[in-house]
Amino acid sequence: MIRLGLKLAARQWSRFLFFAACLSLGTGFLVAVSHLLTAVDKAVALRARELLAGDVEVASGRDFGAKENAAFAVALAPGRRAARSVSFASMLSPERGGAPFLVSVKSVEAAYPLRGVLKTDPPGGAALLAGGGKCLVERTLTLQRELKTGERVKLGAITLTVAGVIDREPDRGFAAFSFAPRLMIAAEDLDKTRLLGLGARTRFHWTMALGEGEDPVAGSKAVKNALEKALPEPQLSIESYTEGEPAMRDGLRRSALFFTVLSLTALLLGAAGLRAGLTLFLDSQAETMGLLRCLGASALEVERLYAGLCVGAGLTGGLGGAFLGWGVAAVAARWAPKLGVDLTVPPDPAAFLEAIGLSAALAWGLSAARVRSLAARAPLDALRTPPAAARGLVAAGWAAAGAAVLFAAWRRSGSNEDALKLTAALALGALAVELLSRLALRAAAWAALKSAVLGAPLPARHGLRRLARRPAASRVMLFTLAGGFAMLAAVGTAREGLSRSLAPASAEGAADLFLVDVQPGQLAAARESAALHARGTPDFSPLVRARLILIDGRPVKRGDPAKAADAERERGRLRSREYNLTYADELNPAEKIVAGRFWAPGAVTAEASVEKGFLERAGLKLGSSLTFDVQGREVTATVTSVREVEWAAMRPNFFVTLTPNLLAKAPQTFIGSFRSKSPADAAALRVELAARLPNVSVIDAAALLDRVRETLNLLLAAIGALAGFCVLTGALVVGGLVALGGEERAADAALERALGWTARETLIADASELGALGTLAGLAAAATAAGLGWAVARRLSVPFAADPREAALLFVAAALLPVLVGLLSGASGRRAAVMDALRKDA
Amino acid sequence: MSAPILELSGIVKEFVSGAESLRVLDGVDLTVRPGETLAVTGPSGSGKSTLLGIMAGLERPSSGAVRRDGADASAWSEDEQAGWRRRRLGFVFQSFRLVPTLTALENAAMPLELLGRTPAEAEERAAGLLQALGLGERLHHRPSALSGGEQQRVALARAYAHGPALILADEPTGSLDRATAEKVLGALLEINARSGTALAVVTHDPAVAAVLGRSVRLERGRLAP
Repeated sequence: MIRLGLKLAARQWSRFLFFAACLSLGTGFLVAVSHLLTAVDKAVALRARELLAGDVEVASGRDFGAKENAAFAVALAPGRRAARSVSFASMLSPERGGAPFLVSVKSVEAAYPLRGVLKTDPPGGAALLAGGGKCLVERTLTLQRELKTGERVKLGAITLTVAGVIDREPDRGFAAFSFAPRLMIAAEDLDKTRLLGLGARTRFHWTMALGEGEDPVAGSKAVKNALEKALPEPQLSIESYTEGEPAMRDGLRRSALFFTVLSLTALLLGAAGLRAGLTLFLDSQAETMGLLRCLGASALEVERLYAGLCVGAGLTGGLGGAFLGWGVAAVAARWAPKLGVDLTVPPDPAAFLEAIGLSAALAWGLSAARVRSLAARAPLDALRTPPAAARGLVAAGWAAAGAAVLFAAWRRSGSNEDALKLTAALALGALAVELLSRLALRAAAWAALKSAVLGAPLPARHGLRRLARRPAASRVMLFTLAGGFAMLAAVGTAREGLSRSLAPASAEGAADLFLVDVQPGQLAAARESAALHARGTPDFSPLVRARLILIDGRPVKRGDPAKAADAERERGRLRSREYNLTYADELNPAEKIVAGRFWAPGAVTAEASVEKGFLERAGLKLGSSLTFDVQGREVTATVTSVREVEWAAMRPNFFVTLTPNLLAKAPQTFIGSFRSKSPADAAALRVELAARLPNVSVIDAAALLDRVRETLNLLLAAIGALAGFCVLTGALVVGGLVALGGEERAADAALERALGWTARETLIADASELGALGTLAGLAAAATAAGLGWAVARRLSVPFAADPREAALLFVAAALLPVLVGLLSGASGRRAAVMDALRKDA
Repeated sequence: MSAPILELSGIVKEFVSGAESLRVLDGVDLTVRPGETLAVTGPSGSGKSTLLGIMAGLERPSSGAVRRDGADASAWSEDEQAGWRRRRLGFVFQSFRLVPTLTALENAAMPLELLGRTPAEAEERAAGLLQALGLGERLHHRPSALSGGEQQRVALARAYAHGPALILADEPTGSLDRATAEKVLGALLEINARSGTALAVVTHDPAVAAVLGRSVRLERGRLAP
């Protein structure tokens, strides 16, 4: 029996190749995502301590006071080490001249970093800053601004010499998301810069490393607990490296959601093609099975033989998928440095085993019921009559595919709830595509009827009839094509939505420069300078730093990030963050009230207007009472309105706006925004401000936007490539099913030729069938993509929009792809000699 | 005497496989005249199906001449051969060969539609033929819902629908039981008698050959007297 099985497989190798290819494509990207997640996990684990540059870190938006310093002193037991750093944004001016530019400054002590390595050129790290008056610059500054080692630069009130170039900073995180390149200075030079003015957007860090003999996990946890007890203020972020790791992993896993969904879709589409292919193959073997039974094989032996063949195809496909996935992951890892992560992708045995196991299980699950029913048929029946279609088998196939998707989703999400949600969402999507496919086939049947009335030529009508009257194969081809193109189109709508949501930022007249940290005494000078170089009147808004301490009279507490659910963790983070409040008498053009009422000008009430998204994520509501600590003074206001803000309008916008009477006298800075007259004006303004108001930072919004766009485009390109993979799976299924039905098609073509059809007419019939299939797939994909795109747009809070040209191109591609693939796959059948085909079929 | 529908002279057909060549037909001369009935018999492997393919223009001879309706068809293109079949030929196969995705009516109407009749006209004519063949209740059934005898009657209707000059039948009764086979053969002969359509039947069955007007026997690629 085994020999027979091998012979059968060898002689039908092209069919088995198709089965294996369906599985390889279906599992390949799952494996790729697995490899990449594992690589990220390992990179995070390896760099866990580096990510904090120590074992425990306390961070705050305000400088540490006596209470904090006392707690730090207690924590700093013998053998332990500590280092302080301060980070903020400022303008840097090369002494050789030219416009100043924004940098992200970090002052460090000699001990920095406590964990990890600060890699510099020349080597030496923070020691290169010894003696003061020196700085280190990020490599990009040497490329973009042509800064060189030994060059002199001006930062606030101090002039520094570039002592080296930073190649790697351990606690920099994802450099791709930083908005200004790093400039590192010695802690002793910090005050000399005179940049730490009131309200400056500064972050203070105290980092500690445990002693040599201490247990890193237990030790860091104990220090963290002790510090939390001593410093209960929620605005102090206290983190141990063991927490940063899962939080970062969670973040990465969440951002990998789109990849997971698309790879599961590819698996589902591959499974649909495999099911149809296996059913065609097994049905074609019904007579052989009957013959084997007549020759003395038992039903069980026949069942084992064919189940073995199917599982064999699964194992081969799984192996192919494992290597394909590894290859794809290795290629993708080459792009990771663009996102600021270095990844290496060694072969992951677990991912390999998963691909092989999943493929084999899927091949078995999708074929078992059909194999059993065919093997159990009475032998003579099997020889006399072709097997009947069985409805239950479709349900069994769906169940097997659903189980595979659920398992794969569970492996990737690591949570039963998320896996169930993902599977349910995919099932819903699959059901929608299936229903649309059925509807499309009915439309094809209707069109076939009506086309006679409309006088369509016979070959075209014949093609339509064939499509409508071979519903099983047509449905699967429609399902896979529509599914693949729907994913691609949905990615397109997401890209278009994001692009449109960012469009106001690039609009004529939108602000391209922001002035940050303008002190009240500098406001007139800043306005004057800005007005000289701005189109229109510069817009300045007050900014008041504050901490939220009470909500409805209840203290805001620091949550336990290790225990909290995602939404709860997000709520805690938003509530305990350092707030930038503003006050205003009227809304700016980028704001509109969506609930409640905004106060009247001159109101002396205690009211707050909160941004809608922030209100939802922070768990606030209309009527909530918010008490802020504004530089030591408590300010309470009631939420009386909810605002929707067009963030991309490039205006200074705020999560929380209060009535002016509450904050007008609070310590504050101003943030200005305006459109520069020209790049030369922007440069001139930077030079002017560096001389007049050295503490004021100028943020180049256009450059920042370009960076956001570049990162988004990179991610969308990767997601688009994966969606393209779903289309490839659909194309494979169409090609495979056309080729698997090749004998039937060849016989049809031969018969048509015998009845007097020309070769061109048989080609037109095939092309009409496949063209109608593609057109219907395009329509079903468009309908599915509209639903999917709307859901994605809602989730990303971007407008639901499609680029008509891209949509039209996709539609044409959907219509033409099956024609191209199908005609190529069916070419040998059409070319077969007519008499040969007629004899073969007889 | 009327002009022949089909004249084959000196037909040779060789199949080449690698270095080996197999001569299936070896100098066959055969003429089919309007209204005549002809049986082509012979053992398996004697070249009957190949001869049928050449008669229908579905295969090209290695050498020899083929004349159709008096014209030299040896150099005709594939499409010219198809055009001749469309107008002048009807085909009946042993395994019926109905298009599985079409109903009985659509199958029978297909040759008429190929000739440019409107679908309504084609179906009207096809329905009349099917009713005459006792399939009035089965017009809208697909082949999978018909018995072997019913399928062969649909095939007969399709072969005759457009009024061809010649019907080529390849073992038309080979898949049928005796009683059904007699009915089908009777229908073919009736068509011949009523419309003068020539009939060429490839068959193993001496009983079938016996009721046809002329019989030729193929042996090892040659026509035996």
